[in-house]
Amino acid sequence: MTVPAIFETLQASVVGITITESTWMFPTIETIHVFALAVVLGSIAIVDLRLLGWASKGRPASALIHSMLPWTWAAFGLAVASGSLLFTSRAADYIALPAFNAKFVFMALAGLNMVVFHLVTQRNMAKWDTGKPATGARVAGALSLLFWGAIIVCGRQVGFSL
Amino acid sequence: MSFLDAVERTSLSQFMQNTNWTIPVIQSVHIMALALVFTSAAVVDMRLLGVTDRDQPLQRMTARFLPSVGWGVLTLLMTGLLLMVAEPKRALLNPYFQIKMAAVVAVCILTWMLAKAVHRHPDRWTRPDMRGRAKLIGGASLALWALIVVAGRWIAYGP
Repeated sequence: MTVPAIFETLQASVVGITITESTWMFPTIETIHVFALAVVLGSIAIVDLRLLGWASKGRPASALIHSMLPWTWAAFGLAVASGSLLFTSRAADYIALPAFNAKFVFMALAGLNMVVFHLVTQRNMAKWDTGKPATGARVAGALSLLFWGAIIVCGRQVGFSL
Repeated sequence: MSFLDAVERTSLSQFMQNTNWTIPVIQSVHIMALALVFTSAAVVDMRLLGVTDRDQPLQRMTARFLPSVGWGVLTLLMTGLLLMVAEPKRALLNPYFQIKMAAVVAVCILTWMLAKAVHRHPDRWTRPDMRGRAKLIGGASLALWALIVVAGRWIAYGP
């Protein structure tokens, strides 16, 4: 696969070269990425399990989402920032990996699932907020767990490939 | 050293070494369990620190999230054991791994004691005179889990 020149340029940038040549930067940024993804996945799973009606049943779904969402977004921001730095260090190599591309397909699907949930399913949340979740909510919870699981598997494969 | 050589020669270890998908798949399950454990523990720790969910009784938080920590740790031990069988020298001789295991033992004891204490005296931990001790336990737990994540990632870069 031919790699677009922009990724070669990125890899050869000051940021890319500094990270590659340092012994401690890559593992340190990677560690930050692990913290971030743990909180992203964990906080999303806590909400998903509530949407499936499997856990946190004593707490209204809206209250749980309200409590978790700021952490999810903060951690997601950190994951994007740390992930971008890791990517920059070997951009041309990463972009050529099937697992790397698959990870972003699953991330797009997870994002789409979230948008549909917020725009459609959440509108009648008052009806099932404290009781048995609506079918749409259960489907959103299951799909979210599936997509985020796939993101982890792809991401780990990326780390294993280079 | 001969024990580790023997582990490396077992058919299970050989199988994991000779297939290119087993180790990353086991690591993926390990990461998913880690995410569950770290977030569940952090939610309880943040409550103890008084940062989040102050409207929720502590006992409700521990009842909801500590079983997740327990099941998650069990999954981590099982997947971790498989990874050790696959590459025994990578793990057992690694100082980061040794630090990680010491922290795992410490945090498991701390969490178990917390679970028992909250079960025995559910309302005690939110009393104003207990706030300092609650913060100390929450802070210690969070610090230990953070150490486990850092040391765990650095096993890959150990000497």
